[in-house]
Amino acid sequence: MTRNDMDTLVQKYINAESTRQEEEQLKTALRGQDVPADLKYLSTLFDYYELQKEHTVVPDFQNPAAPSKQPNARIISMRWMAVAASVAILVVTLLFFNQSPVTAPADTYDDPEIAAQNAAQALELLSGELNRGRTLALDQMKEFDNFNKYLNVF
Amino acid sequence: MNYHQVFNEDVFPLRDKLYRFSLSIVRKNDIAEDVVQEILIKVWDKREDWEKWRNMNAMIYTMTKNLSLDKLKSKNNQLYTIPEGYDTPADSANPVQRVISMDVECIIHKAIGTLNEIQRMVIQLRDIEGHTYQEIADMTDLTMAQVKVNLHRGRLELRDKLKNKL
Repeated sequence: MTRNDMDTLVQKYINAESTRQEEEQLKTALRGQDVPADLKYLSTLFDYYELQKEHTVVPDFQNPAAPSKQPNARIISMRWMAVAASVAILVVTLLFFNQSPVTAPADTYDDPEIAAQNAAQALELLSGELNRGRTLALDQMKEFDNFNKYLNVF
Repeated sequence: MNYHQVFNEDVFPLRDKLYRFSLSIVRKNDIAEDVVQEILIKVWDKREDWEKWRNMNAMIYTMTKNLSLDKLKSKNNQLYTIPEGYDTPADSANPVQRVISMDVECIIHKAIGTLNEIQRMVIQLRDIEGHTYQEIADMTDLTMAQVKVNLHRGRLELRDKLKNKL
């Protein structure tokens, strides 16, 4: 490319009248060894543009159309949680009772007759004590009644 | 219409270009990231309206442009102007090539930063992404003439700023 051709292309480029093809021609010409000193700036500028296109670090953008990478949150219904809790309580209870089984009290009497007599005696004793308590309570109530009468008088 | 297929094949692959486009306007990585993520979500949420959109690509770019400009206007996102002379790359030749290239990159980056957002936007779409003038007009909601004028002014300014520095 002659110097005249180069100047024409540069002028067209500056005036924004050059086609893309002409701009490519100009870039190729300016990549050569014998770049005129007054066009050195344009050669460097084209190199800079090339670098900007290739070396600009582009961030990692999130694609809004892509399915979310995170799995959907698992929804556990309260009903199933209640069932699980019940089962857990049941299992724990069973384990607890299996470890300390309830032992029935050993028989203390061989003869049922004697046992019945002793039981009757015990119940009579309990009954007697309850009656005594009741008598005492009645006596106390009488005292209260007398006291109330005095209060009413005054 | 299979929304998932359309989005995954036509919209989501645009994210790199949209990010660079937004970055050319807002000039802050975190804001551009927010803008593009928000746009992707918005576009997906409006999937019922896709059929009404005349040019889906252009519509998405226009949405990105508008949101980027809104963010840029927001007080919290204003960039402070770097005082002249501060952090100026060394003019002397540095023996380490990497440092030289960083200096060059810094000079160009600063020069582009002085352009207005419309100029930065059209330069990004034309010189970096390689779109046609008509595509840029559709994407940015500008007329073809406005696209060309902004491209011309932006390139002219860059030439004036860089010619003697590089």
